[in-house]
Amino acid sequence: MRKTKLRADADGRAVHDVGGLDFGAIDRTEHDLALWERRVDAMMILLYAKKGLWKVDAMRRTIEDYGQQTYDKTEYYEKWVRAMRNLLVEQEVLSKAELEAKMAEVAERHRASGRKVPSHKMAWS
Amino acid sequence: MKMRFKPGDKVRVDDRVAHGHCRAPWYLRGQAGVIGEVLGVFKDSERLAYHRPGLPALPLYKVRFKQTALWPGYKGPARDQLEADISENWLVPDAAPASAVKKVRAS
Repeated sequence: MRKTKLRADADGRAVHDVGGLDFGAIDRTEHDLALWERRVDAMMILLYAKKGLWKVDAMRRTIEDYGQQTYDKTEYYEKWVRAMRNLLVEQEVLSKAELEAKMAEVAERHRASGRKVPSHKMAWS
Repeated sequence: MKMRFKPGDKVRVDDRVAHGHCRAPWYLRGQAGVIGEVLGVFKDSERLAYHRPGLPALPLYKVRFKQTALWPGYKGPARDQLEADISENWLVPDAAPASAVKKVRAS
């Protein structure tokens, strides 16, 4: 996991704006994408490039709005899926209540079929 | 559209505090550079980020910075440069020599 460096102490420096900070060596190993990562990628492209619900800049802005703790501990496609969720709510395609109801329904279905369900919920910020 | 700068012009990245989505990296704000290329005119990403039409569109420049000026203790050759794409709304003309103003940065 990445070391956390405080960005808040530098006036006007946003959470993603880490150019020049020392995070150690970059891990350059390649890995295959998991199925969920491919799905997130496909959904994101459909929603912004095909449906035109937002521009890529809005997606970036949504990711930059995460708190530093969330920003540093989330992986690439986790940032995307959070951004997609937040933008779908922001653009009033889905409501928070609808999303939470659906997540509960899916969790229940997984539990009923004996699959493991994570106990934590994805935070809204 | 009238371009404010042309290749070879000395510029400085504005050192204002950014609110919300910002396309000028923090480590370049306040730094002096030279226009390398005019890349074209593009819708304003800082407005597109909030679902606005991104107008007025802005000229985008490739700006070159001296690495030795950006990073204290830079070990590479003095001729090393960093290139960054910066929109016109973040650039101001720079008459002063590049070493006149140096940003103090947290490590």
